[in-house]
Amino acid sequence: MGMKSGIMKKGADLWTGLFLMILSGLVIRESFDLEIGTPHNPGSGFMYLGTALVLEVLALQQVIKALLSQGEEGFDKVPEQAPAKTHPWRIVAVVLANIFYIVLLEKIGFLICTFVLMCFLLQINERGKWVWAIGGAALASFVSYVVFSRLLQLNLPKGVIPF
Amino acid sequence: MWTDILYGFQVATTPENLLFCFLGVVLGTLMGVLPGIGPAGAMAILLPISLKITPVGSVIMLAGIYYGSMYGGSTTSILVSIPGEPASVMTCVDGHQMALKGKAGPALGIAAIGSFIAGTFSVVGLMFLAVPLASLALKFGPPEFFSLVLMGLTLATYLSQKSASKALISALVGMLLSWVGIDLVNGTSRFTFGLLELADGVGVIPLVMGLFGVSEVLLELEKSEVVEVAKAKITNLLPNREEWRQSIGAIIRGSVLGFFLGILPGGGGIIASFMSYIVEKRVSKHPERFGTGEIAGVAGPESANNAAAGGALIPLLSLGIPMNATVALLFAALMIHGVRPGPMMIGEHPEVFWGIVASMYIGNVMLLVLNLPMIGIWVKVLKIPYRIIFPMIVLFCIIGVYAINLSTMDLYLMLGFGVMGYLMRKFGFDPAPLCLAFILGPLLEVAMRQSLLLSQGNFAVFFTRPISATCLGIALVLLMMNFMPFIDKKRKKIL
Repeated sequence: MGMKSGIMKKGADLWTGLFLMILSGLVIRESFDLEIGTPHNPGSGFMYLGTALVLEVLALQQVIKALLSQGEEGFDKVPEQAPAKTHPWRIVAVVLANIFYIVLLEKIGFLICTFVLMCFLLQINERGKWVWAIGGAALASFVSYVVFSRLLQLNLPKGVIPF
Repeated sequence: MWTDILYGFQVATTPENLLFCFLGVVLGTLMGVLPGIGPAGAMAILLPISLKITPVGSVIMLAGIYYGSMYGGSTTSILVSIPGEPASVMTCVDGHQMALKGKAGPALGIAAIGSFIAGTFSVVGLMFLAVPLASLALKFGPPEFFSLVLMGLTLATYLSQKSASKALISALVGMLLSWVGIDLVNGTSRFTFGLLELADGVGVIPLVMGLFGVSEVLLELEKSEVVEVAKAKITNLLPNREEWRQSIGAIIRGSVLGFFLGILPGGGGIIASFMSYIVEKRVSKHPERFGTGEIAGVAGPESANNAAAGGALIPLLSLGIPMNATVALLFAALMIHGVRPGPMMIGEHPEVFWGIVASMYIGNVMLLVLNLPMIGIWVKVLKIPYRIIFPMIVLFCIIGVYAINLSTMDLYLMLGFGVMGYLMRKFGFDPAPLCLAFILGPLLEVAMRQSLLLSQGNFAVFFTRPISATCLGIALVLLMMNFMPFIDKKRKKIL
């Protein structure tokens, strides 16, 4: 692991630590609103308080560790092997496509939404011929609809298509 | 006991259950062969299908996916040098070297035969150990369950291959998520943000599918690697006499080691296969050959990860405590069907317990048949481009999650957990402890509250009862070890 990735990891540990500190702080505050109760009769916030306190300490430890360490020293080895070339935009595109899908699913229906999503997903990873993507998407959405909605009797949204 | 086993075979050999067992092992092998989808992801994707079938059929199928994926993972490790599932990492080392030397056949053969022997051994162990352990667990009260669950979670974080403190953070977040919803004791809404859909809490299926299904897809999407399958022709799947001689000891040691490591909380196939490889290298007269295509380096780890799969079912079926994330999915499946795993299950639902045991014998035979003569099909599966596989995974996740409650909120949750799982892996957090803690969280809270009510608020109840005190003592030692740099470095070196 080079110095650059060590510094990046340090930054990541620092920011995740700070995020977790804020998160546990909010949970601690909310647990008081939920009522802590007494050891005789623990309230709804009892376990939340205990757990969030431990989380706060661990997050603080991570922040301190990140601040005190120099470059890569003191850090865990990088868990994943860094690929030669990455495509982070694909992640954003797939997540956005799925959000649109969920928003439109019950309005437009399973068949149309799934067809469009499959077309998009089949094209995003490796641009191929559109005709293959359209054919594959049509097949995937139709077969899945028949299997899950007709054979397994799952209530998939019909939307604008009345069958 | 023999009557019970016969009863189990009666249950498992009905045409319907045989079909579910077959489907489970085929799907498991398929998912194991495909890189990037581990057994947890595979079970999460296919969990909704099991909603439409009987509890016994459902668990037989899901268990088949679990141990089937252990078999399938070796094919990818040997031919592509990418572990099909995490427990097959060690098989890549010598297995792929054997493939490069034109010995892919014996490597695949010994992996399948070792898996069969170990799988069968672990079912025998499960049969003999689960019943006495369940009888012992009947004597457990809430303090014992609280301490046992806490010890399990601590050990799971300690055995995490990533940073132990990050695994602990992951488990704590899982616990916080598990308590979302209406508190059944006093009706208070906890972290529901006014959303009615969250009143029943966060669903286990959106969480698991997001963390293990969607996040895997996102991680794979980022890469632009092309999978290269070893081109050598696969012949002579049955090992010769010399290869047998070199492997049999490794298979026996791997089976025993894997089985007992599987029982431990947080254990499972990954640690079992690592430990088996280390043991084989230590006992070998030629340790220098390891890494260059030594057959014992394939036989041991592959046997160990299959034995661990059976061993991991013991705490689930006898104590009602899943000890790793994959087994936690079986727990979820049983709960969805109204069967509560635990000491009472063997008495209340003997058809489920003995049906699973018997189906595992049958499933192991099916897997041997599937893995040896059908190897050509699995090699073809390996060549399917990921751009075709990943939309299908996304589609299965969507249908599976939506079908449970017909709620788009579950889909948002799944997507959210998918992004969370992706970021967790990127930042070195293991999502498995989160999943395990999410499943065990409610059990922990109930046991804690009941213990305090019983003892009239006296925390000493956890330390004055011997079993509870022992479990807490172990948990405390493990926690302290996490924060000792010297021990933590050793832990990381081993794991």
